Amino acid sequence: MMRRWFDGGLITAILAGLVGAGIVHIATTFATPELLHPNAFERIVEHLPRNSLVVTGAPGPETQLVSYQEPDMHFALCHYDVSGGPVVARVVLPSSGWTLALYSPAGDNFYVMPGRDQRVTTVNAVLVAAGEETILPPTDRRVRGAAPTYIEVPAATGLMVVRGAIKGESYRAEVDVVLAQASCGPANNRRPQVE
Amino acid sequence: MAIASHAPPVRSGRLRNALAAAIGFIGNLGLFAGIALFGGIGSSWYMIEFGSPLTSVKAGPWVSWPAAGTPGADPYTRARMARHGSLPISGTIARIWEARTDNSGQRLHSSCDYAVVGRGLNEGWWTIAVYDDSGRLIPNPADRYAFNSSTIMRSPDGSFHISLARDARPGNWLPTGGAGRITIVLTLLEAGDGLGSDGTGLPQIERVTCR
Repeated sequence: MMRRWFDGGLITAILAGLVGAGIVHIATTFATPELLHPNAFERIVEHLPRNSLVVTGAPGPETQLVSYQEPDMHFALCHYDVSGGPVVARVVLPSSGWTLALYSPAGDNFYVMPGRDQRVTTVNAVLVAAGEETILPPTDRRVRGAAPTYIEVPAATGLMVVRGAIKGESYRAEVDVVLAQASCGPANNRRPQVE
Repeated sequence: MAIASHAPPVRSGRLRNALAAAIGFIGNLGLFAGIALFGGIGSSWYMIEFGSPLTSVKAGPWVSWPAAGTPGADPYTRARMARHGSLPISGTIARIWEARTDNSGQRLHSSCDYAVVGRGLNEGWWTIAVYDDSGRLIPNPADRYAFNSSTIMRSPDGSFHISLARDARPGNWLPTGGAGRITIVLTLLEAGDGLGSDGTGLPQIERVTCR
């Protein structure tokens, strides 16, 4: 009986178990981001107003917003919402170490602009919802040079994160001044918001 | 009792066969469920936590997930980011290296002192920070959590030496007291001169002493 069980049922159970393990493996991997809430994005935007820039200092053990947050950066955060119309963001990146990053609610960094040494990078961006390209001026009529960068965002809401690099204790105030001059808000041609 | 003892042997044999079949079926079912659940969840956890050559790059104690933060990240990288609850800069411009062990493969722990020794990395921006096992900054009276390419003190030969220790050390000291297991994170932002694409040239992490 033992031999029959070994020949038949046991091998079948092991093979079926391996197939089942593959299915469970795939399901677990894909389900992990969906099941773990709140995610980093949700934890940050929870206390942020929409379409307004908030400057935070460098994170500490008590003020850290997300895991592995960079401690030698000051942050400016904007929870943008383009459902009522485009959102304009103006940011200056004075040197290397500075970045402007846009995140989707899934935490994907779909746009990033780094600062450069010996050149001040000014970002003048217009965030528009996917599928609303019709509200933008035609490509051939957009002004070149200092004209805004049109960024099609993958979801109506998202997060803009400006990281200001702290290159020493004496730079903290200067970094905060530059971050405070950044802005994030509805464009002038904003359509009435539907409640 | 007398009637029971004269029960037909065929009937008791069928009962025994049925019982054996039931036990075998339940055993097989348990084996199937055990392999499927433990194998599936365990292998997924391993791939998310430790990575594989398909998703991560290993160089000594350092591990990097190149697709971290990118919209096209693979499911393992995506699951790892969700599990860690971090919001990294896209791997297209930032390279993030994590170390949870020293060069000899021993888990980094706050009960030990470590020397992180590197050279190069003269261009671009980089930062090296220490966290506890959950990615939290380690409280310390000096409010010191990281060094970067601007704040690090280098030796005359261009190398740098960071001491990870519970008590104050001269030079570049990062406090680790009371954190338990620790993680060192090196973030390179358009930096990495002197580093190979496989991570060769990354700082060495040597255990100095343990209590």
